[in-house]
Amino acid sequence: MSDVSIDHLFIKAIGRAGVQFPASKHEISALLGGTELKLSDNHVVRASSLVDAIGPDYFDNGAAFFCAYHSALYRDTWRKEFLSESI
Amino acid sequence: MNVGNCYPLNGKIETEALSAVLLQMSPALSASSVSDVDKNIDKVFEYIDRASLGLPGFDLLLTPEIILNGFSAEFYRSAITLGSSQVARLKEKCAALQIWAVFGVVIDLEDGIFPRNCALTINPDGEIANLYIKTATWIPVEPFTPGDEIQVFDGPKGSRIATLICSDGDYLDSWREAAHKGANVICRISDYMTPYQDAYEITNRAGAYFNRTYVLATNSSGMDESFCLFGRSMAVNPDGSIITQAPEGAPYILKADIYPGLCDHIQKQAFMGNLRWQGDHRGASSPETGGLGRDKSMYSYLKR
Repeated sequence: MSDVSIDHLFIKAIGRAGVQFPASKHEISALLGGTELKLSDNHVVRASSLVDAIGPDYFDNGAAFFCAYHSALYRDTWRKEFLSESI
Repeated sequence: MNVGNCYPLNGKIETEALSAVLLQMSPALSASSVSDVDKNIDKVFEYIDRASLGLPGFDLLLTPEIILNGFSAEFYRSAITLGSSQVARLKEKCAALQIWAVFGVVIDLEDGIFPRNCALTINPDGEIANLYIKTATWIPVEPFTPGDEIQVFDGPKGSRIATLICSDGDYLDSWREAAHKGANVICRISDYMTPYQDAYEITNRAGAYFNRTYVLATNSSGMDESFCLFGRSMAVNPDGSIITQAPEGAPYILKADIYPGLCDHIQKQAFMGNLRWQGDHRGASSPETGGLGRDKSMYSYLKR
C-alpha cells in the first residue's frame, strides 16, 4: 500500500494546530509541536520538521506558506533524504 | 462558492453579514438643470423606500452611475455642489434610514474645472464618507475631468469599500489598485449600454476573481436619448461566481448578503489562489526559487 498523501495529512495538522497567517516559521513549528504524520505503518514524519526545512522565515499569507513548503518538499536532495527517514 | 479551492480553508471564520441592495433603474429624466436633479432624486427615493419596505434592514445601497443626472449632452449643466440642497437631501435620507448609500452623480467642486463623474457615498450619520471621482472615463465619448486616485474606505459590517464607476472596470489596474489598498468589497456603479453585456459580466467576474474580493455591480436599465442600458446588475463572490443577478432590460431591486470577513479570511489564510501574491512570486513552489518565486520584472509593459 502506498503512503498516504503527505499534503493531506500536513494540511490536517496545520488546521488542527490553529495556524493563522501571517505567521513565522518558528510560530508554526511551535504550534505543530510533536505532531506526527503517519504516511504508512513504517513511515512517520514529524510535521514541524517539514516546516523547519522551509527556506523563508515569515509568511504573509497561506499561499506564501504553502508555496514555500512545496518548494522545500521538492528539493531533490532533501526529499530523497527526508522521506526515507523514519522518526 | 467553494470558500477554499483545491485545499480547504482552515481556521475559524468570523464575519458579519452585509446586506446590500442594488437599484437597477433609469433616471426620471436626463437633467438639463440643477432643478431637474431633484426629480431624479425623487425617483431614487421611491426605489429606496420600496427597498426599505420589501428588504427591511439592509446596510448598503447602490444606485447606477450618474443616476441623479442622466447621461445626456447637457449633463454638465446639472452638476451639483457638495453643499447643494440636493446633497443635503441625500444625507437626510441616509440618516433617516440609517443606511450607507453610493449615489452616482455629477459634481461641481467649485474649482473652475469641468465637472466630475462621481460616486458619492453617504453613511448612516448623514455624512459624506467618500467622494470618488471616476478615474478612467469612457473616452472618447465622456468629457468629465478624471480623478487620480482609487480610494478605499471603511464601510459597514467589516467591509473596506472601493467604488469604481463603469469604464473604470474595463481596466485591470483599477480593480488591482482597489484590492492592493485593502478593499474586500468593490462597488462598481455603471451606465453600461449594449452591445457590452458580455464585457460587463466578464469584467465584474474577473475583477472579483483576480483580486479575491466581492464585487457589487449595479447598472442602469432602460433607454435614454442615445443608449439602451441593459441592467444585469450582479453580486459576485471572491471566486468570480455570481451570487445573484438582475434580469436584462428591466428595472429591478437586487439584494445580496455578503461576508466581508470571509473575504479577508480567504485572502490571508487560503493556501492557494492568492493571485495578487502569487503573481508577484511566480513559481514560488519550485525548489529553484526557494519558496519566494520571481517577481514581475519580466513584464516589459510594466517598465514603461
